[in-house]
Amino acid sequence: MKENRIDKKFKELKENNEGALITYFTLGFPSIEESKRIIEILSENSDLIELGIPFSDPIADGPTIQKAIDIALKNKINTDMCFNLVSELRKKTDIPFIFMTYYNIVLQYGVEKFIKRCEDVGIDGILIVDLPLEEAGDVLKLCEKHNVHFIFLVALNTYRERLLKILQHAKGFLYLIAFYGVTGAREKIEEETLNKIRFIKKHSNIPLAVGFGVSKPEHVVKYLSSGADGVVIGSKLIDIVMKEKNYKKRLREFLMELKDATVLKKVIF
Amino acid sequence: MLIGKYPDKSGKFGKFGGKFIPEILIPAVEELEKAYLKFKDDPKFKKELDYYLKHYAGRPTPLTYCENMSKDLGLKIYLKREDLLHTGAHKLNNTIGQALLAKKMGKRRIVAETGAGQHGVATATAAALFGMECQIYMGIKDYERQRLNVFRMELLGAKVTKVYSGSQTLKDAINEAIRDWITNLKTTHYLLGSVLGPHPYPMMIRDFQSIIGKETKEQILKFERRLPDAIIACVGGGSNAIGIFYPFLDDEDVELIGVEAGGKGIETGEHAARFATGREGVLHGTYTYVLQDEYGQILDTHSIAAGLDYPAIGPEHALLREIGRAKYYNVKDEEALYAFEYLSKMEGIIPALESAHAVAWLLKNYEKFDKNDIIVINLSGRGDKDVQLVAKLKGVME
Repeated sequence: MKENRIDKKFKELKENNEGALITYFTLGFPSIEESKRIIEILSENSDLIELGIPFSDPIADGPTIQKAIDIALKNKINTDMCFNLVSELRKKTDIPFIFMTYYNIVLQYGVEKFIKRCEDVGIDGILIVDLPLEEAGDVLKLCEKHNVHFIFLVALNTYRERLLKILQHAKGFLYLIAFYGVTGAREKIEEETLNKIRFIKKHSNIPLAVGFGVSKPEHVVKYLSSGADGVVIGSKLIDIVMKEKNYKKRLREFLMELKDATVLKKVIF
Repeated sequence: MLIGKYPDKSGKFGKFGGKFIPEILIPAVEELEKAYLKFKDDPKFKKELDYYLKHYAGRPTPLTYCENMSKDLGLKIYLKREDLLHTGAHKLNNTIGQALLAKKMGKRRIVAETGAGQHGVATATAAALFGMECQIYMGIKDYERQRLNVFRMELLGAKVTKVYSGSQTLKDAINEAIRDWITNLKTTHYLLGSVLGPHPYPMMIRDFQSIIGKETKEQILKFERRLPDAIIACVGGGSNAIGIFYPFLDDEDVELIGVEAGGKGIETGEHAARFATGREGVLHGTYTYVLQDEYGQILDTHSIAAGLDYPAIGPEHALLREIGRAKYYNVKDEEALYAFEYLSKMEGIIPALESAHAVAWLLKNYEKFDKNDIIVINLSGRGDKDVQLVAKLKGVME
């Protein structure tokens, strides 16, 4: 089996003593074509990319991503089009891609068909927000078979025993949700989150990425210096596209600032 | 034996049900399940719940023999009068149960969704009773249509927040209530209004509502010295239906009939009949029948009865249908409207438009029963809330 791009990337980053900058973007927003161009910019300025397949009822997403999803669905994006977009992007970049979506999208496409097609078009991992460990059995097996990593989310309230169980199944990286809440940019960082990072890193070698609420370089530095291997940034990028006229330029600048913060890790340690 | 068999330990009703929720909610539903299993057989909790149901909510509700309708259709027809419960519908059975449980769990805040406002009012009522903070989410479309119920909830001390996302109706209000819950887990209990959502909600809400069926069984045995031939109930999420069905599940001679909202007609696509055109899928944490497009995007639904206007059906109903224990049909808006007026004139009882669907099904199908068969209809709510809407439709009011 070919080495999964996610594993390869984290290995590389570790060798260079860098943290991972993981970006999220909603496919089909602000338009289908434009989302492709934006993802090209992300692929030049980040280390891994989460591509959101829109679902009409995104219960774990805050107002910013909800709005992006509403717009994407009005643009009539669908799962087949998302796969086609990835095929086109794959011709230009070797960056690891992770699909982020909700279970009904995968279920209605056909679980095996979905995962097999992920392998075919070059998706390296899937993150299904509403598929916890106890319901994930079949999906886990199929992911294994097709060399697509099933990315687990853990939260601040994921208790020790459960966390250790999830760690046994975790592949690629573990995604820690930094807050009690939904996705969306936030100002501050909680001590509880930093403690959780330290606890997880004590019990596992799997790369750990922190997401939800990340919106500035200070957050990146703080999480990485507590032991995390990467950060995920999403809502803030959508925000920039919604609010800034020259958003491509602003995205590049902003991602460069964040990427610099991940490289700073070298200096700190 | 069906009673007590489902759900299994993982919260499944056969292949339906389960816990399809974000990781952050798993510890919360585990905590809820643990608390529920502990308190449901606790004599002190049961006594307390019984006390409130009897002396506050007004249980038991009567089982009314409908003389005129029985004569008209040649059957023996009874109505289970949930319309006479405090706040005007069966919803309070569940909100009192859950609010009391939440209080025992040390939660001081309740969050809930509402469509037309019935569940919101019942939740705000229970929160007021137990001195808890109450936050209700309501789609902006429902909010505009149901201003009187908004005011009612506010009178009861609840905060009502408008939801502008998605289709701006009940399902979006649920999304927002879940988001609030995710954000405020430590202090807040999510008081879901129907037999939907992740385990343990479908089980717990069924248990709280099955008092309807328990009373019905005792009452009909007193009147008729035998069980009914059929029980008919409308099905939105399905809490009033499962409430009356459940104690009869093992009485195989009792036919169980659920009635979904056929809206403007199945062929128009404007309906909420999940079993007519829905497919298996996942919405709001449970695996069941869902109205959705080919890619799994959830479809907008339509019914004249807001309480039936939801794209998924309770997972236990999906099981009962699959194993053939209950049968499900749908009736249209216009048929429900006819039944609304029929029952009002015939028996002096104005039914909720939701419950009118159950009456309408019998008006359409009474000939399939034998003369003098005993039929029970669950009259899940009263129609005061719908009078204004019906008056408008009839051109009596602007």
